[in-house]
Amino acid sequence: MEVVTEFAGIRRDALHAARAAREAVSPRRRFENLLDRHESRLRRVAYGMLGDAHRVDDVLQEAFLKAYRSLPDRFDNERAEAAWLYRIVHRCCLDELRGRRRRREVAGVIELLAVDDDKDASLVVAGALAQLSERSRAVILLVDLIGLDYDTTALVLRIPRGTVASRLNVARGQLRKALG
Amino acid sequence: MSVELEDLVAPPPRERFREELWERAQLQDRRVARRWRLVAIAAMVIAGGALGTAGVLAFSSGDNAAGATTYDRTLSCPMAVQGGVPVARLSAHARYSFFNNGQNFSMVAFTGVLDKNGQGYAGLGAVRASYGFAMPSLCTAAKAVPLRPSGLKLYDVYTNGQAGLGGMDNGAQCFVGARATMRVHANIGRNDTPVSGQLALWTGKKLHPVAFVQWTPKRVAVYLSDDCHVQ
Repeated sequence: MEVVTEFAGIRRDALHAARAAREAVSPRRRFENLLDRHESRLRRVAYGMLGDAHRVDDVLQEAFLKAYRSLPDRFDNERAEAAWLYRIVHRCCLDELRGRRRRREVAGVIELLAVDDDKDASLVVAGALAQLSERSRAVILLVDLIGLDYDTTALVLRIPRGTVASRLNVARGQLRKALG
Repeated sequence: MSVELEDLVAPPPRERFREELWERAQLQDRRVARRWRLVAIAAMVIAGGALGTAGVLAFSSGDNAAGATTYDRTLSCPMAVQGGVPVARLSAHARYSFFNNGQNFSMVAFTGVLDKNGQGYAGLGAVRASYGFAMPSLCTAAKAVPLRPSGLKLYDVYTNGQAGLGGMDNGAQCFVGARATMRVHANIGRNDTPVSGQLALWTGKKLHPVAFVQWTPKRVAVYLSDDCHVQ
């Protein structure tokens, strides 16, 4: 009986190890880990880009599905990983904004109106960002809000590093003005 | 009140955000699988006495842009275990027919990588929209492997009427690693039907070729490594 119990214990350990190994290479587990690392920041970027809290979840879900479908086996480094994921989210945000323009929707009207009432700081910032161009918004969100370096931002936006710097300079000025 | 960019707070994710994400992923998989099955069913015509066009297996990529003339995708997929080791089953044949239980069957030309149960990973067949990967969500994108034999030995060439590999047998059983990289390249003709293509199967940490198929509906050349066995 004792032997059987020991055998069962060993077997359970082996199964656990096998499952852990399987999970380590499972694309879904890898992607979950990736989201755990980046989702909160991606959410802020998407909100800043869209200015519409109600669309953030849908746009992020679309972006995550696209990312999951094209998840590479591995990334050379963290910068490559971040650039890849932020780029997908950025592109999905631009698609959403384009679609909104086609539908002639007014972005974040509720939020912007609410600014006058409760002066919520987050809404004030979202309202100010909405006054910036998409290019300016993207660069200031990635560098100043999320803290990506210039090189990674250049990879995300596929623009030269110098362009990141100049756009950032303009965007900072515009945001300062918009925030009063 | 002094407001800074850092004050921007994103809305929290809605309830079940992640669950919804995976449900959507599964739904997409099911749609691809359903299309796969429909293609297979549509391709199989049981003709009482007369030969019809039939196909046992077909793959649907579901992601080829309308109007595209080539399909080319490489994915790395986890491989099913058979008898304790991961095995990939290679099927490759031109069009052929057989008589069974009083009925004539005509099978369309096809090549694909399958598991032990005949569930497809990747392949292409001479049926509308039957090319690509059957369950792409299980796989990850991979660097393209070469579309040439890459040192593999020519195993056989099958032409019209020959059942080839996997037609009347279990195909070539190839020992692979836990994951294998497959590349499907198909030239798409009218009606979204492949007219020629290649299928490459590679595996190992330092990728090495396992099988390669040069395919047209009338001629199928199969190249195999020593890791493949035909029963």
